[in-house]
Amino acid sequence: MKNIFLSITILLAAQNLYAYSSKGMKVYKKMCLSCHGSPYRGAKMHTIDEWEEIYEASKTPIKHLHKSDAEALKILDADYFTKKKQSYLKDFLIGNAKDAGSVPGCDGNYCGS
Amino acid sequence: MKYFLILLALSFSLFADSIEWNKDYKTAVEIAKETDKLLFVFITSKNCKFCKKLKETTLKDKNIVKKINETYSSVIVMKDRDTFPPKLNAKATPMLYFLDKDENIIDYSLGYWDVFDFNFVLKDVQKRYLKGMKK
Ligand code: HEC
Repeated sequence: MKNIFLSITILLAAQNLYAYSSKGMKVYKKMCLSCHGSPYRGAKMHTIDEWEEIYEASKTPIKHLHKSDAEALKILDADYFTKKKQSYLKDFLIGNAKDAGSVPGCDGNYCGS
Repeated sequence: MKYFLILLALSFSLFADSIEWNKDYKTAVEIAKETDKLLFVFITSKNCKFCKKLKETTLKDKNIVKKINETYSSVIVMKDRDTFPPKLNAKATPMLYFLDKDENIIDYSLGYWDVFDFNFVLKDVQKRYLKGMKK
């Protein structure tokens, strides 16, 4: 019985995580894709540590990175880009960073040998 | 005849649609030093279908080929068979490494990318190289 609970908990947690990152992917597609490539490519611009550094350096790190790019700021200033969406995006970027283990274009995480 | 030759030469350059792969890692380093280019190391493995896909689709794209040939001395190596520095590790393939001519790692990229994304991969490498970042 305990095991069933445990597996349900894990299942729910995993689902939640998945939903979280796919929400972030949606935000990415809307806000970043045109300038930085597909969602996984965009996330793999940086390693986990680099993303964390970026996020520690500023309260609004993404806007900060584009402060001298009027075209990007116009997009990033949209009402759509709420705090909540920014945090979904952060989870997606860090969760799929260059060294996070997800491999694009391959079957799950398995890519050749 | 003259025009024919010119036309022929032109068509060769127009259809130079493949990356100039060096025969091995050592040669690629030598050529990088001679020509003051960066190094592009493509690590493949046996039965790696995404290596094949990357090599035969994205890396055949004219613009990509041009960019790579202009900037890099390139080589394909087979994991567990060919000789290359162990620091270029590849838990999975296709694994791409971009090095400076002194063999310092500028950037790496794992997995298959289409042309749209691969352009961003190359752009990222350039950015890191200019910034002098190591990883
Ligand atoms: C209108 C185009 C545009 C949009 C939209 C855009 N960016 Fe950028 N981004 C740029 C440009 C231009 C730069 C500066 C040049 C560069 O580093 O490529 C940049 C730089 C960056 C950098 C710094 C790169 C580095 O080397 O450190 C990151 C990270 C980044 N953007 C992430 C994002 C994310 C995440 C989004 C979506 C929320 C986004 N960008 C939306 C154009 C854009």
